[in-house]
Amino acid sequence: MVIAAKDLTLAYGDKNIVKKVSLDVGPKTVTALIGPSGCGKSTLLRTFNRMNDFVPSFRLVDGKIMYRDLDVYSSDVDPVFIRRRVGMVFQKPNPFPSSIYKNITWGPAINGYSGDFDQLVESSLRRAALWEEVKDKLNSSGLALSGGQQQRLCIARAIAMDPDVILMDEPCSALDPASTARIEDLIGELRERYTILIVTHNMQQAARVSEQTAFMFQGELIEHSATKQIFNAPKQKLTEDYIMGRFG
Amino acid sequence: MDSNLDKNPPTSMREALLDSPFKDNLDRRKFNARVFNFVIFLATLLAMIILGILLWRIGEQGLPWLNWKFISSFPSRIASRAGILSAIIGSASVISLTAVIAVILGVGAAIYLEELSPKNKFNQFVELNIANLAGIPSLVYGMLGLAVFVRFMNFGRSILAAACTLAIMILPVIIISSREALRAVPAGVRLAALALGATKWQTTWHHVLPAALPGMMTGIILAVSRALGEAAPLIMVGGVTYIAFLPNSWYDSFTTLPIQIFNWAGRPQEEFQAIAAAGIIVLVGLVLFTNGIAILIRARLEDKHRW
Repeated sequence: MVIAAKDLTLAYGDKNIVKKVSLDVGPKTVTALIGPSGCGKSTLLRTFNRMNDFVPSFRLVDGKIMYRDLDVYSSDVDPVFIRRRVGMVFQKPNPFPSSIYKNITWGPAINGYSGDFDQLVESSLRRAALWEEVKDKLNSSGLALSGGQQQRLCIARAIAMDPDVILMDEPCSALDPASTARIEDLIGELRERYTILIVTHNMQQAARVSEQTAFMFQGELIEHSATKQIFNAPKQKLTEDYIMGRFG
Repeated sequence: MDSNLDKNPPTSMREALLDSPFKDNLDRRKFNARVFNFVIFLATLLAMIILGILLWRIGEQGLPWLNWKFISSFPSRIASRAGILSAIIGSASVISLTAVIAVILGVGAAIYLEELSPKNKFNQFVELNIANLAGIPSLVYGMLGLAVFVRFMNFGRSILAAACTLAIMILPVIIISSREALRAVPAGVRLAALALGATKWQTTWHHVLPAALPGMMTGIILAVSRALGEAAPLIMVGGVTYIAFLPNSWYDSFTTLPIQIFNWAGRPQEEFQAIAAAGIIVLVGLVLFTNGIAILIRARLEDKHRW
């Protein structure tokens, strides 16, 4: 187990968004979180690195989030410490409005990285399959890249922190099919080094990139097992209906 | 103007549309658009004309008096010897100190309220009051300055007291416009930085503040220009009209361009009316000069931050 939710109930104000969810994510796997809009999958994802802290009405009602042996929401764990190890890629590409080089080096720099920055930039961009496209323009703005390139830059930026876990919140929903395919290939390569948790609306994408799939509906975790099992022989009727496209 | 305004669908297409439940009323809508364009053009023109008349009147009166001797002399009882040097230096010293105080306090308060403070009742109360403060007449700030800075803090009738008073006066505008600028920074930038293990302060200092600076500059420029043209609060704080020396310290007494102009314009002799006009030209020039520099800085900052 690298990250886990234990009997987790989350709320915005008085409305429970995630109800009694327990989920274990093992090391170096890709786990897909699927479910219809508003089912709580993004809210769940954002608790693993405490990004929900910035939503004023967010409350952890009950249960625990564990990162290895740390209770993520206990008062003696610093969220900054968690976020440095549990990286995140957002729905909309959000590079900093500065050079490609600085986009990669800023995170490591503020976290006291003492290695060689040039090397770090090259290795991160190579792992994000972006190096060949940008190696001659590292000093130009990250915002000058195409949407798909920007998203790979954001992945490179997360990788540069040498994270343990990478959380991806619908990373392809703002991208065209060709860029989506590149990111999916990339996720296939990243699974060898990182534990990845990806929220997606696209069931084909979940089937292609993940080993484990968790299906959520109205805040509850309906089914969690191997992706093949979920897509070929789901145990729950609700899961089957969703995967067959009968609702959602 | 919108080129679509002059295009019409061919008649055949119009006839086909006759039975449609959509009455597109294109002619009427285009007519409305033209009327509206004309009205807003008139509004712009009117503002320009009024400004033009003002400048022309002042130029006509003041330009003959505007020469190097006028700029480099101290004030005098005799109009032909009167100059504006001490007022220029006074305005420049007061306004530069005002800008430093107001920007540090204003931007700081904006960052606290927008980025760091918890959203509780107390902070809502503070926010409401900042908006109210922006509407208070400047004379009231002058009385505050007299009571607090001149007397209570014992700054005396000095440049320091004047700058503190003006800074307090323009603080609400700077806070409000700086908060707007901070709010306009895309949320994605904050989240990106925080998700990399940055503290709130690192996120604000390295990413949010630089991205918001050009927007903040707009409010700062407007506020400082207003302070530069204020006479009333400084008269309360004790701006003097006859200063025949240049200040050596922030505790020296002072005069500023608006005070000097106000004084000259109030005298019965016609020559003094004319040199008041010349003083106004100097003041307008000073405002344009400071704004020009600020706008250049803003343009350079904007180049760095294009979304």
